Amino acid sequence: MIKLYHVGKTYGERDALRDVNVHVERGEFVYITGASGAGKSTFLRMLYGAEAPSTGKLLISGQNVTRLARDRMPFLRRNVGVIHQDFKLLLDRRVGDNVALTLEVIGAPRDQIRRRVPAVLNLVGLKGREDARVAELSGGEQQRVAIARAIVNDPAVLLADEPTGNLDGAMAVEVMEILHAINLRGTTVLVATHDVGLMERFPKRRLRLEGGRVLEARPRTPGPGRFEAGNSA
Amino acid sequence: MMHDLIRRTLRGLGEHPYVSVVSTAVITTSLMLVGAWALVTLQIEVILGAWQQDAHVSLWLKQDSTPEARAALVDRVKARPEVTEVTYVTEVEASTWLRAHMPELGPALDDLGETALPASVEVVLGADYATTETASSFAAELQADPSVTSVDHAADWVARAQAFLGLFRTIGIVFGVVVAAAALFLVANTVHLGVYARRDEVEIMRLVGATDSYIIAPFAAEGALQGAAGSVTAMLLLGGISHLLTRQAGEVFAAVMGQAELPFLPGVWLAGLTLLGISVGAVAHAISVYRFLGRVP
Ligand SMILES: Nc1ncnc2c1ncn2[C@@H]1O[C@H](COP(=O)(O)OP(=O)(O)OP(=O)(O)O)[C@@H](O)[C@H]1O
Ligand SMILES: [Mg+2]
Repeated sequence: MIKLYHVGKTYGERDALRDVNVHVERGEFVYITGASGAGKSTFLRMLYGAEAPSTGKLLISGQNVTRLARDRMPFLRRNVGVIHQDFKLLLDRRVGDNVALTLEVIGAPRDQIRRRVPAVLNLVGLKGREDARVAELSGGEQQRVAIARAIVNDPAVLLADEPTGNLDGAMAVEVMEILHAINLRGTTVLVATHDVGLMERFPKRRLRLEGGRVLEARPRTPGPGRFEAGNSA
Repeated sequence: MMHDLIRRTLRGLGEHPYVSVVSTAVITTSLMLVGAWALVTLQIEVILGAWQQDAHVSLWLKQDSTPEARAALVDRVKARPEVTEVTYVTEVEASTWLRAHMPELGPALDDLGETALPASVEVVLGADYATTETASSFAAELQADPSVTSVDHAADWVARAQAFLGLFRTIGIVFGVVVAAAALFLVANTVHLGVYARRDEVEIMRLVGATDSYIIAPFAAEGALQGAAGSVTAMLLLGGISHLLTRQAGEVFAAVMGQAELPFLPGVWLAGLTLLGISVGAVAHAISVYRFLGRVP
């Protein structure tokens, strides 16, 4: 599903990532962890084409993202849902409009949008909140709108950058449960986080970034991610 | 798709009315400049046309020429096939006419006596002969007559005016292109504010997989609407100004052009201006969004 070969990223003189070799199978759930500034966001940004690797090769579903022309990029993004650290929602629009955007840009028919949006809001625990303005929602609720927008078109891959970073404990657990539920439906999920507590509570394969390199912190989860406890070696 | 585009266009207009008003005003101003130039060109053409039709030749007579010689000249002119009308104006008649039209010149004319103005034979050529060449050769021939001092005819300076009009048109086309380019630049910069106000939306659309053309389309449609509104406003304003001028100075136009009502731009021009407005609006928006998209990951 996702393959990185000798990927490096340099910002000026500085190496954000160095010789990264990672394979992620279809349906896996993977944590990207590491200290602040370790390159977690950079890693994810390369996966949805917001950043081009300085060296190496990056494949998603067999497609070479490194050499993707600008006009092909939208078609990659339709297959990769992204939950941003700062949500990136349109605050003065309604919840329903924000979620519908993902379907509108692919030209989905109106009646499909009318069916899918409430269904996905239900999935993230925002049932019946379509007409609320995003600005009036709490941080946790906004986070779920961002999740709903990222998954409403059933992408093959879901990337989440610190999805629990701004949430209190109980809310963070709920969001992790939603992400795991999405993974159970077959979506490949990558989550950048440095919340050790959550990773212990929902143990999965971890990739730790350190000094720009990737260290496999736990052995791979066998098969599609299920979150039974104690799959660590 | 179409429905979605209309919805997105209207939302853009509704969320940022200020930017729409400013770019519509810029388009209106530019089109008024182009339209005003077209209107002036048109008026000059009408005036020249009127003068050309009215192929008038004045034969100024020597003061010492005898009445017999003058009568012979009038007969000779009348016999010519190109001539439709001949009027003999004596020195006294000329003075009387001038006195009647400009009474303030009365005392000066009194001082100069009865022969202040020369006598003349006013000739009107038939429409078939009203060309520059005929008028010129006719004038040259009569110049030779012993009772004639000089001959004036409109034709040679109508020709000169036409040359000037050709130059004016060329300058106007250059000017029109410059104005259109300036409008494009100004509108693109105004629109830039609007795109900037919607940068989050543009960025998010791109992140969830919108193509560049999907993002640009409602902006271009918005620009086209502004362009259409701008051209209609410009034409209404020009029409209004032209009407006011007619009301204020109708007599002057009647004297110079033979008609009191100024002709307005013909349909082709109105359609052309509207098309220009729509294109400038749409292209400026498209360029502006496209430039912005270049910086969005
Ligand atoms: N656009 C950029 N220009 C220059 N340097 C950058 C840029 N983006 C990231 N970096 C640098 O690359 C390194 C990795 O940044 P990144 O944002 O990926 O870290 P992170 O692991 O996500 O950190 P955090 O946990 O704080 O979000 C940092 O040293 C950062 O300063
Ligand atoms: Mg980060």
